[in-house]
Amino acid sequence: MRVFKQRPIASTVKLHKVLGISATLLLIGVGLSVIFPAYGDQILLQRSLRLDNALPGKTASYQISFTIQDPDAVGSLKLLLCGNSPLESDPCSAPAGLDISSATLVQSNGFIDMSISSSTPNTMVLSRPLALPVAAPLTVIFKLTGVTNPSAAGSYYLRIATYGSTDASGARIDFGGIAYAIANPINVTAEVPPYLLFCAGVTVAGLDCNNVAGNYVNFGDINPQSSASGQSQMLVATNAANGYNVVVSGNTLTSGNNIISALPTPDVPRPGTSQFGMNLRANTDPTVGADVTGPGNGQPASNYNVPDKFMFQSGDIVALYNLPENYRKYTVSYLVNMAQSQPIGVYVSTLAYVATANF
Amino acid sequence: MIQKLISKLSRPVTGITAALLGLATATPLLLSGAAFASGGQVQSRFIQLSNSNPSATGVTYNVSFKATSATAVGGIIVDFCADSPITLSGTCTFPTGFTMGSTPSISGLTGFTTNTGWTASGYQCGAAASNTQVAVYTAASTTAPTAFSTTPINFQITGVTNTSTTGTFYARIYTFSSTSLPNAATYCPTGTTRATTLANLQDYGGIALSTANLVNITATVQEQLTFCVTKTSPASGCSGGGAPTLTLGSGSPAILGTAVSSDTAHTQITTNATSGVAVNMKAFKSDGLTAAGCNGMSRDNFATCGITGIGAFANLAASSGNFGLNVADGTGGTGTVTHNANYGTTVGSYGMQAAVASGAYGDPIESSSGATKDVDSTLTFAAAAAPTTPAGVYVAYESLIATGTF
Repeated sequence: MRVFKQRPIASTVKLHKVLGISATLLLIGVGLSVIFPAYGDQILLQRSLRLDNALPGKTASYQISFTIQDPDAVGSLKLLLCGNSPLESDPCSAPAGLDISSATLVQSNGFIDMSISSSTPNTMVLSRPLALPVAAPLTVIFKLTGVTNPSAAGSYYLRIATYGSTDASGARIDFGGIAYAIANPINVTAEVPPYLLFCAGVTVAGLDCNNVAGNYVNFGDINPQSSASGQSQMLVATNAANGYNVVVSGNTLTSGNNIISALPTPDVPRPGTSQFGMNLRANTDPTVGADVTGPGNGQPASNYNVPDKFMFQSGDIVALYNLPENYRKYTVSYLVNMAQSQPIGVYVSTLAYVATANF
Repeated sequence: MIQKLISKLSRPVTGITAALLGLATATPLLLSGAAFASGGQVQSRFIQLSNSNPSATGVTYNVSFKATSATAVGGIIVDFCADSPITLSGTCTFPTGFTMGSTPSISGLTGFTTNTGWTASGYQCGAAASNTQVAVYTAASTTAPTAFSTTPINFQITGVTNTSTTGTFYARIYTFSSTSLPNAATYCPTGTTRATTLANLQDYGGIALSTANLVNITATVQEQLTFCVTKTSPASGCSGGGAPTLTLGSGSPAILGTAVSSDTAHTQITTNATSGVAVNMKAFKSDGLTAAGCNGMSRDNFATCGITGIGAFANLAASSGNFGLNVADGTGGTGTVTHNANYGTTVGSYGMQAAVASGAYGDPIESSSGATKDVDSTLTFAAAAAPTTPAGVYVAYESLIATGTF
């Protein structure tokens, strides 16, 4: 005799539900497999790792880019930095000094929903909330800041793997290796010494002290009716932080015990009156001299900076500037007048110009 | 009882076995006498495959044999079998997956007085519909071998798909003294049966062929980028060269005046990056922090930039107070490394773009478009103090960043 045990109704309903859910899941599974076909095991193309600082041991940002060829459902990326090889099959030696564990993801193109989910000094997993298929070919670019470079110069390697899981577990999909270089800096050193360029002569052509010519100014025969004049030039440049000044020293024109008096204050030419003076301007009475030229900024001292007015006092500063000075060329104009009573003679003066830089 | 039965049977069985062995040995002799009446076994026969990979398509079978006599030939049949090369054996197993297409393609015939006008056709026999197992090659009229004992008959069957089975399979060759060749129904009444006699048969012969799996050789080449910056030109593999410490100026100790002074460093690039390498230069402070916008040289840790970068590529003049770089195109090794236009090779001219200090990745100075090996580039740095350049020891720290795209 065979005994049939009837299944309770409730149990039957449950079984139907389970079967229904299973069938639904199966359909979803089939559907997903149709919607998300399996690709994988491709090489990531156009792989590059760009550093903003390739110095050993320094903090840098690493911009990583690559292209996914197939419309894989990618849920995560795993980065592995090695000192020995980019090959997936090789063991990985962590580069000494390298540390990406404190890195921050600041830029992400291609996977805008990606974030750092875990990291060690030489590994990092970047995850997406869902493993959705990518729009292949997809160029992925992201930037990690706060990476500490390996401590020694040389070649290093980054291994990139994509996963269908969101935590880089399970079988990887695609893979790619990158080699990058850490290099010592080029150190360029140059010592610039304290610098004062100064020269004086009758003429200084251009702005070059190699072109100095003459040291003798001849007024010729002077007379009470007209002013006699002459000129000389001097060139100054310095890197002194506080600039420079040029002092004139010497005597007025003398001939034995006879002198032509120097003008103690700026004054105009007065033919018939004994005068000796100078200024550093372009004058019209008499026509002599030139204004200062050159790219610098120095100026004649105020007493010597008025056209057609002259003076001379030994020890006076005749030109100055309070900052480093580029080339500056001064033209010194000399004026001589004589009184009717001025004794005959050959009158001579020797003037010295001294430039002092204030470093 | 069983032992008795065995004893009774043993003697007759032994006798039958011996008889069968004798028949098997005699069969070729009987066939030679009956079916191969006029010719003989073709000599120096072979079929050379252009590709022995199982299931390979588009394969060329180069058929060659020597006739046994000067007798004129009207046609040739080549039959491919999986089981044996024995001609007129009565059976032929179809080699799985094999086909010569719906009509065999035969060309390149040599060895006959008349090698033109031959027509190719085929028999399906054991093959699938619209495919052929047997090649039939018929002359327009009988023609004699040019020199049967020395010159082989040769032709090529092209567009063949190999059997999918790895290992040995066979071909059977028949020549006929007439252009009237057996038709398909006569030659292969069913897919696996064959005629045991053929009218007008002249010569015959069996050939063994073989398919074999391809030898797969795999080699992995790893990504490589060897980049170094040295004072002097390094040896192969970035060996030696010294630290790239450059000093500008003249005299001892070196003093930088208003005249232009220069010094050189070298880079060497070895890479298998398919899209090449780009080398950027970026200015840093000694502590590795960015150079605060100074693309020149500083005497105070980049609080000021006393000797400024020259900017666009131009002549670097004396007294200019500028700092610049000139990059020569790479030399030596294999591959090409070229300068960036902003750092060209005109003697006496230099460049130093603002991006050296302000760009996120500095400024590009040289690049390659593909792989290189041991290519050496000379970098010439130059500066000239201006009269106003403050006194001091000026430094610049340039990081060269090589980025390969693989």
